[in-house]
Amino acid sequence: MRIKLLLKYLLEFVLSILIFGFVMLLVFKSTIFNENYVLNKLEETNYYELLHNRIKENMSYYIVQSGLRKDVLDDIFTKEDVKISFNSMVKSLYNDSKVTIDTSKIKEKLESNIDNYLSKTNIFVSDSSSLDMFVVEIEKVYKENISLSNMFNLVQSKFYKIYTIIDKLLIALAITIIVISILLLLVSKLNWVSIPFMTSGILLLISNLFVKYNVNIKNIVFYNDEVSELIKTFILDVLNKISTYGLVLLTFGFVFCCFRVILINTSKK
Amino acid sequence: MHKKIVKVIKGITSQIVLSLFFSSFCIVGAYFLFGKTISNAMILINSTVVEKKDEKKQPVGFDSVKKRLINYPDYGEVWARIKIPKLGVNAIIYHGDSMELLKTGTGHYVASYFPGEGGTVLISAHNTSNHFGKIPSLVAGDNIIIEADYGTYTYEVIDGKVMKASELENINIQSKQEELVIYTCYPVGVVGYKTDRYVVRAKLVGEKYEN
Repeated sequence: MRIKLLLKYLLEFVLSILIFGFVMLLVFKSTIFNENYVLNKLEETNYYELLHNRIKENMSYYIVQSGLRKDVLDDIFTKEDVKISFNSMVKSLYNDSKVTIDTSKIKEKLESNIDNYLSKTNIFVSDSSSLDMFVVEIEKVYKENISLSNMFNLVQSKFYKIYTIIDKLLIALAITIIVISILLLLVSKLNWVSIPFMTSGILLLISNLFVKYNVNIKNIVFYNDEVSELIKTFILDVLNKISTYGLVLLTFGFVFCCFRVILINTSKK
Repeated sequence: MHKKIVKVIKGITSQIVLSLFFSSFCIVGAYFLFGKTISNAMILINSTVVEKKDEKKQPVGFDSVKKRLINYPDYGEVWARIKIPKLGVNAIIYHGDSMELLKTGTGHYVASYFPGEGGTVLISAHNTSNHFGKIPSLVAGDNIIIEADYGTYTYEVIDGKVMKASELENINIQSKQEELVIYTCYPVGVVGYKTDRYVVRAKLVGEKYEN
């Protein structure tokens, strides 16, 4: 009898940890490791528009030293171009593909704008290589902003590795949870869910509080304002989901616990 | 009936207590197993946190004995004006020389010294006429004045020359005598991206502290 009880506690404890791990992975799988979620968030947070404006602003810094006028940068790329370029970078994370940012259209339009400006103002250019270098610099600004200074390439392989492992881990955890649940069901009949559910719920809520208490999320600054805002949104979304799942598990666990205790006591004569 | 209620409450309480015990056990286990990793992760994340200071920033001052600034300016903060009487230049100096700052003023290279500290003060600006566009016409003996929040410093031009942008890193910041180095893109008045820089060196000839 005592061994059975010890086995029950042990299985409940292991099941609690497994459910906690499963929910955590599920949250990550449905947020930052979910391509559609990330693309939707980019749209929701108006990221493309902000990135478009930032690129234009960064390009304008080169205008003063170039001796050209700001309007040579007009219409060399659109918000839609930024969206396509940035999405291709995001997608490369999820399929581990090598992506090169195509700036040929920008080059073509910029060269045409410069030619128009020079012909209108009758400026004679003795050394065209300086103009070529200017075009190259402007292309570089676009590439750097889209690739977040090559950050995508740096994290791509690690990200993809985690992305592929998560699926396998989720399946493995789901199978283990089912097996242990069956074992628990055999040992303790109806009462197999309440304690693991309540424990994993408490652990999820504590994890959420731990991060919120230890990290000053609203003051996170990373790369630039737009990326910082995006990261904050991701972190808050992950934490919100963790706390929601935690509350759901805790409630379910408590309801099952009440149901089971009441059932036992009312059926006893 | 009363006994049954007590039993139900006891049963529920025991399950809750067991859940709390399991949770505590997990937390203690996680602390001993992954405490260091979690702590390092928190440090890493918090390294990206920039706290907004509520207290009023102290003004930039100068310790004339130690020859050091008191309360250095923040990045992007205007801490002085640069005046070149011969060229009619009178521009603000930012702490920092990013392209964003150079759009509206001159930029002080953050790793260089401040006027009065005894090392090389490095300041750059675009080659527009209101900034450093005319500095190639400066000759030895011309004056450049920096009016900082903590004092006024007068420099006398030593020489000027054209350098490759990549050679700027060879400028000695730890000079034995205080020097002001100002530079801009070169050639001036030509369109396109410039890889050359016009660099003017000047020596300190006068300083006046302000209390």
